[in-house]
Amino acid sequence: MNRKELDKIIDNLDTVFRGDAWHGPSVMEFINSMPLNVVDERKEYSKYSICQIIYHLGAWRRFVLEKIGGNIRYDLVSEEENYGTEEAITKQNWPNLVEQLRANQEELISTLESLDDDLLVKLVPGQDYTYYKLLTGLIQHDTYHLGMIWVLWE
Amino acid sequence: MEELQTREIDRIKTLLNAAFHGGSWHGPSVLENVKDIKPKTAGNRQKGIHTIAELVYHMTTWRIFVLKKIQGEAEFDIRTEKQNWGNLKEIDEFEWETLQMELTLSHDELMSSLEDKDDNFLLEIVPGSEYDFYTLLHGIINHDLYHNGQIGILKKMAPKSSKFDDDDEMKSSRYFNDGFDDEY
Repeated sequence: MNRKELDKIIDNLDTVFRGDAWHGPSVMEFINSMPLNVVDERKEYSKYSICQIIYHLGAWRRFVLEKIGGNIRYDLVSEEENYGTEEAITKQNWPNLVEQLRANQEELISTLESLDDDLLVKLVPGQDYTYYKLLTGLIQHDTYHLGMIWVLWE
Repeated sequence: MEELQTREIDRIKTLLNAAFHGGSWHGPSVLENVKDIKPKTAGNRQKGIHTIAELVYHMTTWRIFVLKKIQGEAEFDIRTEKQNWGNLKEIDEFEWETLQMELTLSHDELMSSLEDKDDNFLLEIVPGSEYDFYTLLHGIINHDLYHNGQIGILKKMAPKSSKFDDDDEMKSSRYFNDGFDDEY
């Protein structure tokens, strides 16, 4: 089983999530040091709060898992699917949001660890791109939203 | 439908170009985000945060870092605040144009320095460090997008300086004017 490249992608996914990434701060480093009073703050210049972005990062991990499971129709279309319901994105629900994201990350990593490099050239069911693009994209999606979180937090 | 390129170095080059120019999975590229920003917005200082102009300078600086490392310069490093973020004063039309031009130029140079590289290059240790070029190249993509996310919000934070700017901005930023709901 050849997992040369997938292993490196898993490693990147893990580093950007847990820490010690080349570019700077990771998802968990941000989450662990963020004061609770900023997480549901609404700013007039941003459509989304930090809670919503955390939901969003978890939701797209779910998307990848569903796709690997062969779910052709699965998609995140509505605002709620993408950024959570009103109840989900409150400060009170923050621990659950973080837990959901962590659980999805863990499930994603262990699912990927059971696969090999053949996955990368396959097309994502119902999409016109490969898993290589999806997985590298998911990592970049994390860093892009981390940049946003940083400004919302300041 | 996109066929996946055979060589890993080519795939990474595609990702690098997509993050900079467009076509990334995650949403807006650096240039897509930066292209409609006015000098006043680029120089606008929010408390405790670097300006967009400084972030663009910083992205160029780290591209040059990668370039120098590819050229084998083990000693090269970015040490001072000034090297890292520039020593920018007033951001006028000319200064802003220059910053953007330098960013694009550094990207072009980086891409051409990778032209004759193959997959073995990715395993080579970056001169003066303990990590390989695979890590560095993915790192610079993530670095771009991290700061690009910051720029995406900072440009919404800047106060509109005049009625004219306002109208102009509405016209030129239509693609993103509904907030940050990037495609994914």
